[in-house]
Amino acid sequence: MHRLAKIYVLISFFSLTLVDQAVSQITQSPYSMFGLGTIEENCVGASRGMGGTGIAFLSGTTLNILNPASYSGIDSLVSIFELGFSGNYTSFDTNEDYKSMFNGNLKYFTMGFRTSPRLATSFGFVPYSTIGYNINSLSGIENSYAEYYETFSGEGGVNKFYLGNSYKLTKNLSLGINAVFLLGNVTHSESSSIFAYKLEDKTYVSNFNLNYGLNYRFEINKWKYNVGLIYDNGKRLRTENVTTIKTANESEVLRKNIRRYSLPRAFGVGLAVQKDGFRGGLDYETKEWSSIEFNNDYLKTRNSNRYSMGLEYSAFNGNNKYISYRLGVEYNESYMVIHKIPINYKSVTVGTGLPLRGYPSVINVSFEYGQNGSKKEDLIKETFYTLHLDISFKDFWFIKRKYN
Amino acid sequence: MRVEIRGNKIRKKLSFFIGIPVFYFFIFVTGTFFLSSCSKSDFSIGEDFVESRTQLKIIDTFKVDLSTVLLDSIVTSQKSIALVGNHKDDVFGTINASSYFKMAYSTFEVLDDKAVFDSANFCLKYSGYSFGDTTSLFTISIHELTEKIELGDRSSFYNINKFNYSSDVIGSKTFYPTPNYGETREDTIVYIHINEFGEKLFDMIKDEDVVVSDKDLFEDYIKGFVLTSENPSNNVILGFTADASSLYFKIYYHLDKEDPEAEKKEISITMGEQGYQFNHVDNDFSGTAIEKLNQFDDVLPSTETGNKAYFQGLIGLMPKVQFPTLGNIFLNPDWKILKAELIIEPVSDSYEAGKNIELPDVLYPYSTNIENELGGILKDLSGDPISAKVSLDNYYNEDTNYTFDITSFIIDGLADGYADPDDGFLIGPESTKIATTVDRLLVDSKKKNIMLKLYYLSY
Repeated sequence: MHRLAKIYVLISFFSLTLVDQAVSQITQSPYSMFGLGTIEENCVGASRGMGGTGIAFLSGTTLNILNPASYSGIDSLVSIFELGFSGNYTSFDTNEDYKSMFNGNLKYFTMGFRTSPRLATSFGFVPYSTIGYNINSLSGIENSYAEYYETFSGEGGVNKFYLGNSYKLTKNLSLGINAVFLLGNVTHSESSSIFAYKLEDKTYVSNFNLNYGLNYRFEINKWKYNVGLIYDNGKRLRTENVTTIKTANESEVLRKNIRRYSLPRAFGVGLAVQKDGFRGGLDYETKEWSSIEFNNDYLKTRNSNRYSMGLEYSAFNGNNKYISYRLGVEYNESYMVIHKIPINYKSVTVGTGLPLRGYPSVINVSFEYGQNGSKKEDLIKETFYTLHLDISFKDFWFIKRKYN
Repeated sequence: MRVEIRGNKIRKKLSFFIGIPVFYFFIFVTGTFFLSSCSKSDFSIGEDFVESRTQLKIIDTFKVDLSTVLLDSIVTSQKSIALVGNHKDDVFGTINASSYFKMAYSTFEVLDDKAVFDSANFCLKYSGYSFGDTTSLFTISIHELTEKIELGDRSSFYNINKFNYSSDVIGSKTFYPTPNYGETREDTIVYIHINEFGEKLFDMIKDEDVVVSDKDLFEDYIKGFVLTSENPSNNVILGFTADASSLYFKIYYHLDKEDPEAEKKEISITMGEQGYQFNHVDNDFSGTAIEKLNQFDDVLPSTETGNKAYFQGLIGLMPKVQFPTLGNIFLNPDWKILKAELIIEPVSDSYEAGKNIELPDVLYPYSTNIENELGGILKDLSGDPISAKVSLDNYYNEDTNYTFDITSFIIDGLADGYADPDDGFLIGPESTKIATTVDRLLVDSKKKNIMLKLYYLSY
C-alpha cells in the first residue's frame, strides 16, 4: 500500500473517532438551543480565510466544498486531503452579565481527486449545524424556600457525510452534484448534580439529500471570471425521539415526543475574478427557513441571507512556492428571530496560506473576529475570536500508476 | 521522468514533513479541549430562554417513629480495652463494668536459692478513655477467677457473659484517676499491690512446683482475673489498654540476703490471648424512663420515654427509626424519588462539650430486623456506608443536628410498591464505639426535631 495512502487511512480513522466528540462540543453558544442549532459555515481551506466566500471558486491548491462543481478544478495529478480545526475564545455579553470561554475542535475532513480528465470526486465530513450550550439556572423547590442549580444543556447537531462529483461539460462549464447523508441528533437536557437526575430529550435525525452546483468561467481583458450557482432542494429529516429520565439508581425511557426538523431549500450565487496572483470573490446565499417552524415560543424563523466578500493575493516566496494572503468580510442574517430581534452575524477575517517546506502541501491559518446577536430585549451579544487551522495534504499518487 | 524523480524525493521526506504539522495540530486540539473543559461551570447566560420541564418537590410530612432498642448482647472480647467502673444518674440508671481476662503462660526460669521475694504489683495502663467524674476517688479491685474463661458454643464473649470469681480481693487500690495522662505520658500506669498472691506464686516458682512447670496446670491454677469496681461511691468508668504489654503483673525479688538493694530482679506475667479478654456490664434502669426495658421487652417507643430515644454503648441501647406512613406515598408514574434525608437532633440539654457528655462526631445508620438485631451500616446508592456528621449550632444550641442521606433505604423500601411499616434502622456511632465505650446520646423525637425530607422530581 502506498505510504501516504496509509497515512490518509490513519488520519481518517482518527478523524472519525473524533467526529462524535467534535459534534458534541463544536459550538458553545446559548443561541444553539434554538431550532437545529448554530448553522455552520459550509466552507473549508482557503475560503475560511476569505469570509467564507467561495461559491464561484474552483478547487485548486486546496479544496472548495461550497460548490460541488468546483471539484473540476482539482489538479489532474494530485489528490488532496484536508483537515480543519478551529479554536475560539468567545465572550457572552448581556445587560446583566459577562462571561467568556475557550472552545476548540476538529471541524471537518475532506478529500478530493480527479478520477478522469473530465470527472473529479470529493468526499468528506462537514458539520451542517451544531448544538452546544450549558446554562445553569436557579430553580425553586416546591414546598420549601430552598433553591438549587439546574443545568440546561444541549449537544449534537446535524452532520453531512458527502460524496460528490464534478463533471467538466465544456472547457468553461462544470456541473457538480453532492450526495449527502445527513446524520446527527438534537439533544436538550436538564439535570442537577446535587440531586443526580437528568431528563434528556434526544432526537436522532437522518436523511439523504442532493446538492447541485454549476461553475462557468470566461475571460475578459485577461481577467478570468467565474460564476457559480448552488442549489439545495431542502429535506425533511427523519426523526426518532428518545426521552429518558435518569436518576442515581435508575434510567427510564419515557414516552416519545414528536419532533420535526427540516433543512430548508437553499440557493446561492457567486462571482469570482482572477488575474496573476490576485483573486477575489463575492457570495450571496439564501435559505428558505421561513417555511420551517420549530415550535418554540421565543423563536420565529425567517429566510437566512449570507453575504460575503473575499480577496486573496498570492506571491512566490524565495523557494519558488506560493504564499497567499487573504482577507474576507461576512454578513449573515441567520434564520433566528428571537423576541422579535433578528440574530445576525458579522465578521472580518484575515488569513494566510503557507506552503510546507519541500512539499506542495499548504497550511491555511486564518483569524476571524465576529459578532453575533444583540443585547437588546435581554438577548446575548456574542463576540468570537476564532483561529482556523486547515491543513491540506497533497500527493502525486496517481503519477506512480502512470509512470510505473 | 523528471516528475517521477521529484516525486520520489518528496516521498523520502514525507514522513518527516507529514509528522510535524499533524503533531502541532493535535497539540492545539488537545489544548483547546482542555481549556474548554475547565470553563463551563457557573454559566447562566441564556437562562431566560430555557424552560424547565421538571419540578423538584419536597415532602416532609411523613411520620418518623423513634424508639429505644436494647440489643440482646454486644461482642466485647478482643477489643483491646478493659472497662472498669460504675456510673449512675437519673437518665440512664446504674451501669457497672468489669473486665475479665486470663494470663499467658511461659516457662519460668529456675530461681537462685538465694532469691528473696520483695513485692508483687498488678499494672494497668490507662487507655485514655473515661466516662464520668474523674475528680473523685475511685476504687478498683482484682479478684481471681474460680472458673476458667471458656468459649463453649460461643465464638466471642459478650457484654452479658460472666464467670465465677472468688469474693476475696487479691489486690485493690483507691486513687484519683488520671486517664488523660495516658495520651501525653506513655508511662502512666496504675500499680496495685498483690503481695500475698505474688509471694505464693514466687514460692511455687522457686520450689519448681509442678503447677508452674506445665501450661495446663498453670492455667488451672491461675484461671484468670476480673477487674471490678465495687465501691458504690465510684462514679466513673475507666478504660485500660488490654494487651500483653500493658496489662500484666510483676513479682520483684532480690538475691542477696544481707542487702535487699543488691540485685533487684523481676518475673513478669502478662495478659493472655486477647480473644479471652472481655468486658462485662450490668445495668439497672430502675427509676428511669427506660425502666421497662429488659431482655424480654427489648423496645420502647419514645412516646413512652419522654420523647427521647437512648443510645449507650456497651449496654446496647440504640435508637431505632421507622417510617410508618411511608406506605401512603402516592407513587405517580411521572415521579422519581431523588433524595431522602433523615434529620435528627440531640435532646438540647443532654450534652455539654468538655464535660464527658460530648456528641458523637459522626453517626451511622445500622440495618436491623424484626428481632432488633444489630446489622451492618446501611449503604448508599453507590455502595458506600452512609454517615451523618454532626452539624453544630454553636450560637443558639437549637439547630444542632445530624443529616442522613437515606435515599437508598427509602428507594429499596418502596421498590415493590409497598412500604413495610416495620422496616427501620438503628442509629449509633462507629461500631467500635458501640462495643468499647459507654458514650451516650439522647435523640429528640419531638415533632420538627426529627424529620424525613423526601425530594422527588415530577416531569
